Amino acid sequence: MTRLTVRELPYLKALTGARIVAGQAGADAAVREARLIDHLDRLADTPAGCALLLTTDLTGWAVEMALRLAWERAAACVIAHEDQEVLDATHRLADRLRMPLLLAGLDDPVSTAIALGMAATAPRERRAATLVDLAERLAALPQKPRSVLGLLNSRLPGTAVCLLTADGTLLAGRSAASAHGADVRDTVPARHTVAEGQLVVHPVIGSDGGVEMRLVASLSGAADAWADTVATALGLAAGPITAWAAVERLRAERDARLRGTLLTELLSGTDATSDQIASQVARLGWRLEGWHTGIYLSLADPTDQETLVARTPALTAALAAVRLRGVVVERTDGWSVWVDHLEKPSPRTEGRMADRLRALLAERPAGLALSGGIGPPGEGPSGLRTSLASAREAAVLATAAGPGHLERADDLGMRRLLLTPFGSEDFRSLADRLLAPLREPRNRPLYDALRQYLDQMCSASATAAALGVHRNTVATRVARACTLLGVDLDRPDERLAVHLACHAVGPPVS
Amino acid sequence: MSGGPVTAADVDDFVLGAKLLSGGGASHGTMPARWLRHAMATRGDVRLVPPGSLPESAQCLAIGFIGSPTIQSEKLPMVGQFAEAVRVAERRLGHEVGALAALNAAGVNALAPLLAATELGLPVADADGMGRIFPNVERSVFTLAGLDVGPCTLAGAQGDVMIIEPAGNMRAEALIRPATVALGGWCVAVLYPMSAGLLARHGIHGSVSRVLDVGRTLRRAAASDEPRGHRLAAGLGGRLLASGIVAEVHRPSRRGFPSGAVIVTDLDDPDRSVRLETQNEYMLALADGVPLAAVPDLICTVDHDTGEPVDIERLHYGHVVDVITLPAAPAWHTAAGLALAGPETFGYALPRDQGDR
Repeated sequence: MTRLTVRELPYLKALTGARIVAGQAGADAAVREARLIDHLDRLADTPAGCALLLTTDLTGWAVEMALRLAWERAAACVIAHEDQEVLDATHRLADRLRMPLLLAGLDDPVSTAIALGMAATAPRERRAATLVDLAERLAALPQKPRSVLGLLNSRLPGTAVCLLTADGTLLAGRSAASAHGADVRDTVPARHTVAEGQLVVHPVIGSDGGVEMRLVASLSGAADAWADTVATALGLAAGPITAWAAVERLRAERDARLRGTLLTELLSGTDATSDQIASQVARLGWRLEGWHTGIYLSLADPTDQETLVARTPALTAALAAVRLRGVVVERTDGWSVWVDHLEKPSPRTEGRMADRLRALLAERPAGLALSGGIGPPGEGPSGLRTSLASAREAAVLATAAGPGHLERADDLGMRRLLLTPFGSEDFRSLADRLLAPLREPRNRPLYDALRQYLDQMCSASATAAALGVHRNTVATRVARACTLLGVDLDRPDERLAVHLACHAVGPPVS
Repeated sequence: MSGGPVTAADVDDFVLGAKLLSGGGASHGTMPARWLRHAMATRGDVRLVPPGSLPESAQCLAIGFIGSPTIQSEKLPMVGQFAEAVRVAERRLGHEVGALAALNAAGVNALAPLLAATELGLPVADADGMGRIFPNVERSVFTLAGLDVGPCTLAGAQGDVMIIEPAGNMRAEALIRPATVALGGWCVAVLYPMSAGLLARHGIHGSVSRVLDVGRTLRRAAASDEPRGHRLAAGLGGRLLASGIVAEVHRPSRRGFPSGAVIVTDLDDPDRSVRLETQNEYMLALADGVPLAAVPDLICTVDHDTGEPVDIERLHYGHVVDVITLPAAPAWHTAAGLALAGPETFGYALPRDQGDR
């Protein structure tokens, strides 16, 4: 049978509020019985392992003598009345002798001694009583981590308990416990010995069978017996927390579905949104009037998709941390985000937003490898729609460039063509628009030179031969054409876009 | 040195010795010493005689001050205050007084019989009733011998004299304390009238000359450059409990008598702490929970650097002191003696096997 230890005494109902003020080093001693001491004479026949309760007559110097006599007789501890000033010297003596000194209320020392004696002879029953008490209180509590952790921390004195995410972030409870707990990666209930004592770990398993959170209790050098009680207590508490997590997950998924559906409606709809959609938009707190900047964040690793809904809160928080507070909506392979503005954002503001977002993507927000696109500001529902669409287009190019990249739709220029199906009417009109500067009659030679140059695989000599002009003339015309279009033919994606555009708008005029 | 005269040249040593023997009790300023010096300078030396050398039937009285030494320094004594008290006592007793004895030859009270002797021209018997300071008049070896404390004659500084005849020694304190307040906060007390034979049989012998001896030992030790500590303790016939630094001075102000605790951390072994429990005087010394000395034995503190006795009131954090215990008179270590003035009577219920060390 595991013995009751001195360290557990403050957890006894009869000694509620008691504290071990000195002699902690001896607190793992087993308590075999308890004696009420009203005169130091009574210490003479004290058996080993005895917890000594001093009556109110024995204070000050008598506590010091009791400590000494207790030590000589291998007693478990000395419990004195708390209504006295204990000198530093007394603390030092208890520390030196490794004789725990407890201060307690002891209003009814006789009853306390009896209760203590019973607890010492039947520790299992007492532990059971502690756990039953805890279970009853857990059942009566709202199933929220804060309440559950508050209960654990109040009912398991001397024990700091916290709830951590799988990667060690503190969710609830005492940060004292999280210091060590952050490194814990157990997938089954476990115990660890640390410098200050013990850690008791209980993983909370998520719906996918993996560790979703961990309950971590930090015990200061506590006895194994108490660690047993704490381990069972954490097991009891894991139930309500699992239930809470499941409810939260369901709620998040329901919300995500609602947001996703609504966003799809908005993106596909016309300017005249129906009343029903408008009311749902209002219920979610979205604002469609005014100016918006659309952002699309695309998951680089498709396996992350399963956790997409679960990561939304963390991602929202990470964005807010870089002053990108907005609506975040789950999409199939990432998130659509938009940020509202009171007035049309200046190009400077846009540039800064992009810089902050780029920096954020580089440091894997919420542990995710993301690439992103950011659209130009747009006004009203249609402006939002356009901005989000542009952002998504830009994100496609950013994804091709690899995780951590951000593309601004405004910077896409000619490359936007690469996102549009060749041969479609859209492509044709976009190509027309982009090549417009070269379609003016006086610039016709420039267009011809550019198209021929691209067709001739960028060979100036071949182009010169085909056009019947000097090679230097080709070079000059191509350079002027690029300047007018704002493209750089050294960039393969731009070169390809220009080439495709040339083919879309029609044959060269020879 | 019993038998010789006490002269004006001895006053400083006598006062020093009295101070040490007060066991940390309240200091009494310089007034009584000046008073004694002046009295001796004007009226001559005091004869100190062994009680056994007096005629068996000579009437003796125990003399002391009762009340507050602080008030005494402010409400100065009256000329002839001792003589007045002794004259009234003589009238009540119907005998002329042959010699004076000390109620307790320690602290300011050690000076009382000498002052009285200068006023009355009587010899001082070298004996007292306590050998130290106790806060109550009944705690004396005379009580142990069954002698009556009364009639008690009390003389105040305003010329009032009271005679109190308690129904028993244990009643004396209850009557004398309020009378002392009425007499102005302090008074000269003439107690325990007895024959020289009884004094010789029951009194603590040599306790007045011991005051002077202790004072001389202290003065010599203070003048010498050699380390004090054990040497001083041995020279005083006692034991060194610790040489250490005062680490804590605890003076709770709840009860009537100033009581508290002083923690002295040993200079040689900083892990060792000596705890001194105080009630006006040092009552109990513990080292790490083990009793080292307890009332009725005397516990005193001496400045480690100067060799001066230090009283509890002046102790402060960081003070380096020698803690010395001097044994009480053997009468105090009898069962009856401990029952009257043992640790338990002061609230220190030590375990039986450790109550009398």
